[in-house]
Amino acid sequence: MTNTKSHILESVSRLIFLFIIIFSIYLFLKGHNQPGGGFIAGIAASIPLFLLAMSLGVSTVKRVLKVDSLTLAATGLIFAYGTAFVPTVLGYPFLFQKMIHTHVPILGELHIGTPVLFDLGVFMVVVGVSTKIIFSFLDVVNSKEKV
Amino acid sequence: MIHILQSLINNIVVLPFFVALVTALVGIMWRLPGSGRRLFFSVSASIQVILACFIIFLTHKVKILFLPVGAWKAPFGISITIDIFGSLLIGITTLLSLFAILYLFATLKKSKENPLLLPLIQFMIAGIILSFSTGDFFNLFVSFEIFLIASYGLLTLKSDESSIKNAFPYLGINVIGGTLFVLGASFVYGMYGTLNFADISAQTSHLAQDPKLILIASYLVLVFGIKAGFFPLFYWLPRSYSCLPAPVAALFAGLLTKVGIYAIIRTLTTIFPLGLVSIYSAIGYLSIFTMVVAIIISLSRSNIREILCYNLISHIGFLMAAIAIFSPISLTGGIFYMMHHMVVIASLFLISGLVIQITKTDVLKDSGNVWKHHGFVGVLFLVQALSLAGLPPFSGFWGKFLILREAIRFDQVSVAAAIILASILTLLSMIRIWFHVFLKKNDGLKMGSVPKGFKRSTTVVSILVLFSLIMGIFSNPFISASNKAMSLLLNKSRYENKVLSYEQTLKMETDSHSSHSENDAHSKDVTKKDTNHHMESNHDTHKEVKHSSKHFKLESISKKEVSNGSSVH
Repeated sequence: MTNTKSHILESVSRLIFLFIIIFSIYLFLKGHNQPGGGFIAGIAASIPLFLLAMSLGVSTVKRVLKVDSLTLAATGLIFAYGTAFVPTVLGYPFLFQKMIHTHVPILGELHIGTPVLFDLGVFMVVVGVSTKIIFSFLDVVNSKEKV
Repeated sequence: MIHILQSLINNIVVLPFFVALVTALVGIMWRLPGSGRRLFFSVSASIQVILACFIIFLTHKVKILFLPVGAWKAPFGISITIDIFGSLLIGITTLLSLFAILYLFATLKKSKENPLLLPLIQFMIAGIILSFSTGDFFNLFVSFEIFLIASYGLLTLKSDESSIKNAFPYLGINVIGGTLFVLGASFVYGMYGTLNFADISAQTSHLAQDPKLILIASYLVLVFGIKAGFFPLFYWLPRSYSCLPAPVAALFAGLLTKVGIYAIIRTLTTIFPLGLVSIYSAIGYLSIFTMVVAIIISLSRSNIREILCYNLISHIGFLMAAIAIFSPISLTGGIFYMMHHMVVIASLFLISGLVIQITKTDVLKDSGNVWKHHGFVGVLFLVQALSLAGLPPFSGFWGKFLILREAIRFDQVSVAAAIILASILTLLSMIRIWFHVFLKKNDGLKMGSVPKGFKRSTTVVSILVLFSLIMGIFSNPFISASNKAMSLLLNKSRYENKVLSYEQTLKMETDSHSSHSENDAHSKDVTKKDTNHHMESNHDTHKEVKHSSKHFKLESISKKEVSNGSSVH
């Protein structure tokens, strides 16, 4: 796949990378009470990474990402476990959530709370695992093509 | 410090599950297999056993442990509920995981250990523990998926062609099973507007004759039957289990099919009304076929592990028979038999691992000489084989005796005949292994030097066999525990009251949480038209005080007398 380089795919995926990432952040923040949240945002955020990996090569994307996929997923799990477990130490039930409802001058109503951290963990797990899966498939495809 | 401890005890129901998850995570981060990592895993497995013992102790005191996760009241939030039945199975699960891990450490070289092996085992254990402790259908589905995904990983860990080929039918049947399960859960939600076991039970208590309810219950029994390995649906099991390394196969055989049986028992007792006679008789017919057909196939197999796999399926049939008779004593026998069978089949798989270490072969024809050179392994095998066949005084006898007695008492002649026939054939298949592997003289077989770690792994197995012996000889506490578990399963109102009218004593946030939960209650109200939810929201400003703005009581429940069973919290 790397030797048959497609300029169209490469420039399009570079172009839409930013937009999809912004959309995924939108999905991430919209979550909890409305459709959205960590899982969908994670899937959305990993799609441009797949596109880049297909157009630029897996090794390039891995180098740019700097983080190993499994490490990313494990860090995400730490976040998720932490938000689940910290309440038990503080005397609340497992997975207890705390929400803050405030009014920010320009942006308007703001609901934010510990579920955001949990969702961040889910986001990282999803990005880590899905990139791990797709990158291993691409590696296999590339190595077969070289042979 | 004491506050933290108290709070942890309040959350004890999630701790075994959570400890297993954390262990798996640490295992993923701690990439390189080595002594320290192994020590960590064995310490964590021991901690899980201790926690499980503590939970068993607590459930014997207060019967049902309940935690509304995230402080959401019962029908709305996820409820983690452990009764005696669940706690006993959690105990056996953690025990088996500890022994399997220790056996693994004894036999597997550190250089050959896959870094994902131990984390995957822990994820699987976490999923199994969660499925024994969950209180609603969707969470049950999630826990099934957790242990299934981990088991797919364990099956294909070698990632050579044969293991992928053997794992494929397993993957296929379980993906289909999972899809059917989630569909079933959505049917349940569509019909009753809830997924919570206690809430479904409260709503369906007078619907035992309703054809829709019988349909959905039999659908769910079928779905769990795929997991358990019912008669026509077991072909996938031996193929995939027999290619695993011994300790992992022991865990699979001991635990995975039993989760299916657990879910069936839960469905027919706690969730849906008692007295669904048509389903019981259907399970009865299936159990006859499962017992007899599987054991006949096992006689035709030519290697140890496949014989054990078919024996496993055949004994799932005994558990089904116990459910089919559905009398208090047969259920007691079934629960006891389930615990016995988890331990016995797992230790038989471990013993087969020992034998394979000695003879380097799995095939009966090529094996032999073991009795002469390693008599102790023979003794271990004999004890567990006779226990599996159900001879007194071993643990298999008591469960079988209770089930058989009830089958005769309720004139279920065909079930009784199948139990006796399958027991005799089990003995025959065990004698085949005994003769070919242990007694037979095979001059062609080179008995090499004892492999490294053989002594340690034999010690591990013999402790497990000792536990099984204790279950047989001093069976009284185990049987009385099963009896308590059974009476709690049949006493549905106790479970409902505990979950649905649970008094919140954990401290809660007043201002931030109340408006949020009101929204949630309103949206649920729309979906649940048949039951009126009364919401009593009185806004307390105190933080530490028992706070009642989250108490939406179901009208029907508040009329019932609230159980005065003391709570842990």
